Amino acid sequence: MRLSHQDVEHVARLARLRLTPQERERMVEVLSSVLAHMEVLGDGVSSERPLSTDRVNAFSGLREDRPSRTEAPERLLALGPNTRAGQFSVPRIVQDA
Amino acid sequence: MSGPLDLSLTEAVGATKSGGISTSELVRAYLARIARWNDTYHVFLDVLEESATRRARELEQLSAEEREALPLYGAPIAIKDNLVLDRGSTTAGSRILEGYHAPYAATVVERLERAGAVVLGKANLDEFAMGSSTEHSAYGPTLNPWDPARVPGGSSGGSAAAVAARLGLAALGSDTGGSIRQPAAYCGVVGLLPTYGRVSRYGLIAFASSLDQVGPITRTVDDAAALLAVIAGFDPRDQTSLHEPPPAVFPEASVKGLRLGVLSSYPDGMDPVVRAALEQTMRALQDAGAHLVPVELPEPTRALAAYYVIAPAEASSNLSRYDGVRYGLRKDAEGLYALYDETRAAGFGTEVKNRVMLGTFALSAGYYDAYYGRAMAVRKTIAEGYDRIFGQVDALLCPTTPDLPFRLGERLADPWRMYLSDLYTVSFNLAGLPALSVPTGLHSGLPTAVQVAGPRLSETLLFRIGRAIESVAPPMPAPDLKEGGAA
Repeated sequence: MRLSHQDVEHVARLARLRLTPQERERMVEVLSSVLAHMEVLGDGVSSERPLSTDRVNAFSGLREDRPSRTEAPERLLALGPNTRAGQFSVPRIVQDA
Repeated sequence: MSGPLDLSLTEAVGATKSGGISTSELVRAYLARIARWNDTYHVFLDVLEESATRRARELEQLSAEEREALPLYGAPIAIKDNLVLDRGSTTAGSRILEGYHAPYAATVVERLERAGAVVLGKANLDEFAMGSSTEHSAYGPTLNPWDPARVPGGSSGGSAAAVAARLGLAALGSDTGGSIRQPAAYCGVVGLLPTYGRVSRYGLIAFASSLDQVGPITRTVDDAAALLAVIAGFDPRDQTSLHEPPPAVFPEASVKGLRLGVLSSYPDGMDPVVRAALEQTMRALQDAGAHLVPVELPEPTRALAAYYVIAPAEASSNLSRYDGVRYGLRKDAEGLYALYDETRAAGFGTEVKNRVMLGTFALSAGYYDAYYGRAMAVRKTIAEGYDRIFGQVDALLCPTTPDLPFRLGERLADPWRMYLSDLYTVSFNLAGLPALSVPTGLHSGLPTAVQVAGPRLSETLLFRIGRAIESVAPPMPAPDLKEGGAA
């Protein structure tokens, strides 16, 4: 399958990646070339059932909920590139009316 | 043995316990060699000289009884830089984590240190473990100790090069599609992908969670067994962790009476040197009493295609956490979405962007069934194929890689060509099975290797076969490191 520039722009938007025009150009070629090798996935697909539950992880389970200590908030906040008043700071997402 | 750096892990631990060499002397010898060669070969991203020296001194204060109880007493070990540690930096080879200091340590690192190991530093890797050469590290490639013009493999290239070059006694790597075994093969050392769930992933920076597994990279099979015995075992902090005890440490070496599956045909593209090394090993194991049974690998080409849909799909989801808000790089911009877009554009390298885009595409509306759905169906077919094979044979012998270490830069422009070096490794990750790469010697100065794989939890058997392979292969010398790097 060959992707168009529009396809790549759409996927970049979903992936939250800003691509330069050169990167977009390169991505059209790279993704189209890799996807061409994925065509073998369709071979004999009608006889195969999709994996409904992951057999590899079939033995995993959820542990019981139990209260426990977590990292001190100030240690985690110290990792944030921009924090204020004990919180991570981000650009305003709700505009004034 | 010519010096402390030539001791294997088991020999070195024996020497530190008996007082033949002090833990400080051993650690100092490794730190001095790192100081001499790391700038040239670029094996470590962060050398923890101060904490390693302090830890070595602390270990010397222990009583003889306390030392005896530590299976890795004084062993200087390299850690792949996608395993978090509560000191030094953790970058996962990415600009987006430059300067990141994790607030906790991975379970495997805690277990190593509790067992008496000394962490030397954080080893280089392809960014977020996505790559087969370490050329995708944002901090520059590691060079192959056998030929600095060639890649050490990847993504655990720094870990494998450290062990081969005597810049670490052993190392931890992570393997999502071959990232322990392929660099082990390219660097002439032993590398194990444990059974999925055998080793805790807590504190391993996630790439593809249904495939990722931490494992040992060592100079001998016994060393890999010794390291696995320490890091394996149930961890309540990893949901996929198995309730299984660690496997036996010192397995026997006999292959007498074992049924070993071997390739019934050789696909195009396999380097004749790799084929010759495999056939020589097959003959030697047959002479040692193994029964060789030709089997067909479950569709390597479709396995590779399925892997390169599933792993990027999981990566695209896992890497969504790098958004410039809670840790790591931040590029300020007008509006929250612009902040995400700009931060990720500046922080991720080319191959990570390729895979995030590929994975996002495979999971997107209209393409999910055709790519992700089919890839998961193929994954099931592969796993069932191995169930059938391991109903007929005890273990499987195949190449680790289809080729020998390639030249730096040779495959950067063609991602699929790079991905092909994972042809014989990815299917065991897809099926959650253990696989061991063992060196078989040198050809024109470059290492050759074979891979032995088995059913779930068969690591003890793999060590037994690995030891037999070691016993028939010529001993691996230390590489002759060269000043100046790439020729």
